[in-house]
Amino acid sequence: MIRKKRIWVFAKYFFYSLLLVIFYAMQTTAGVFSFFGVRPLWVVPIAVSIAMCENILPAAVFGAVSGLLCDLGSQALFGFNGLVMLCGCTAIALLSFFLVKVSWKSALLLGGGLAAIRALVEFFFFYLIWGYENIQLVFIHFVFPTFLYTALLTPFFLLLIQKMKEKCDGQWKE
Amino acid sequence: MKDFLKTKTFKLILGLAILMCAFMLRAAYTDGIAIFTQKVIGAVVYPFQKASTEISSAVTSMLQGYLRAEQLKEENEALKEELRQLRDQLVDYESIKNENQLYQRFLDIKEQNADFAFCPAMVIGRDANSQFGSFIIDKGTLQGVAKRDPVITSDGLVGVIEEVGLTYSRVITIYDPGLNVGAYVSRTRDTGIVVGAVDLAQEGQCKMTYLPRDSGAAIGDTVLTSGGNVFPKGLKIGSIKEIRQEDHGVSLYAVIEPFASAYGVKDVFVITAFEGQGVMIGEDLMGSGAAESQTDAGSFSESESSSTEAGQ
Repeated sequence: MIRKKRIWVFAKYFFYSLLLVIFYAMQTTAGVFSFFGVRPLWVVPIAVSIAMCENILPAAVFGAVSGLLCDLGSQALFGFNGLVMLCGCTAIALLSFFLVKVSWKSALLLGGGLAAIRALVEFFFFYLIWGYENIQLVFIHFVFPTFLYTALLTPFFLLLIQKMKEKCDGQWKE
Repeated sequence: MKDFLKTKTFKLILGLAILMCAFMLRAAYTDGIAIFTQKVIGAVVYPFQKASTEISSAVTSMLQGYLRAEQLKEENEALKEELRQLRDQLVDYESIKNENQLYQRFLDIKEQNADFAFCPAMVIGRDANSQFGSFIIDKGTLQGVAKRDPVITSDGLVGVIEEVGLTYSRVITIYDPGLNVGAYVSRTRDTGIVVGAVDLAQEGQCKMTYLPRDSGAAIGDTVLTSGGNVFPKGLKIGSIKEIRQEDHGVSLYAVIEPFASAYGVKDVFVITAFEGQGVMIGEDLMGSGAAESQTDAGSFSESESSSTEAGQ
């Protein structure tokens, strides 16, 4: 029984990891699901969804990994998004565990919240403090649409993660 | 919640956070050089990124034709329209080019003959029954064209207006035996009548009759109009190809090859007015009665056979 549980838990986390890597590859591929030049950060809603469905430690780890993936493809200092996502996903996991009912609305709210925080922090550190001219254009044309697009995807991934979790956990709980 | 801060999980998460900070410090220290963790994660995701890019490229190129079908259709329509406009412009260009060439020739003639009034015209039809190359032009009385107006090109005399309508005129050529033109040989000043001949017309030639037996005219000499009330003086007719003796033996005649071939001409000028047009030689001096007995610069042998030819 324990062996079966370990296998399915490992399988579940493996699927999560695979999902992250696949969608990270999509995130870094030009033109894929691009609307008016705006592409979402696919790994953020996945990490948020995992955080809403899983325990705190896996939520933190997957949050950190998704953040590091974001760092890998961005101009940010390696570990910056990792830290933000680690903190964010830990907070979401705690909220989901103690306060918030897991639903598509809460997913939209929490996903949107984390995406907004990540976007604002990044905007602050990489644009605002450097005093570039017309940085509001960066915010209007890039930061805000990316945040919006990313937030809107969270409910769909929540559904997917919930199904995967049910499927994998159901195998050893039977 | 307070209990959570004391748990092993929190400590692990705190450790992770410290690790992230360490990554940042290390990344800042190496200044752009990828650290080991980056390399490992990069190596893991690289095959997926490559596959994703290739799939994306393949799918994009496959779907591009379908996705852009409407755009391509519109582009095709726009290009067709552009092509049609360019074709129209080409037609206009050719037309303007021809017109320009025509007016250039017109200018040359005008400079040489300041007293001439011209009407440029285009050949719009040819008489299929005429073996002498008569044709129809697109100008008539509305444009000031009148019967007996000379018709020329920049090369020389072509013919004369034989019939005139409101917007068209029929021209008979110098190959026509019915048209007599008073002429002279420019080098020797020998005068004669240039007239068409059935046998010579086939070869695009005409003849100059009534050359005196002692004429010094030779092959290659230029023949010009001698002037009168129908043709102005000095219009180029052609060059002498051959000199023969008339059957009756009294005079000679020269075979003329006209400078302007009436058979292939497309654009002509009608001389609607020139100094001395319609005035009979000697009219001013001897009155109109005397004029009838005088020679004419050019005439229609059929309709005006009473008028003898110029220079005789």
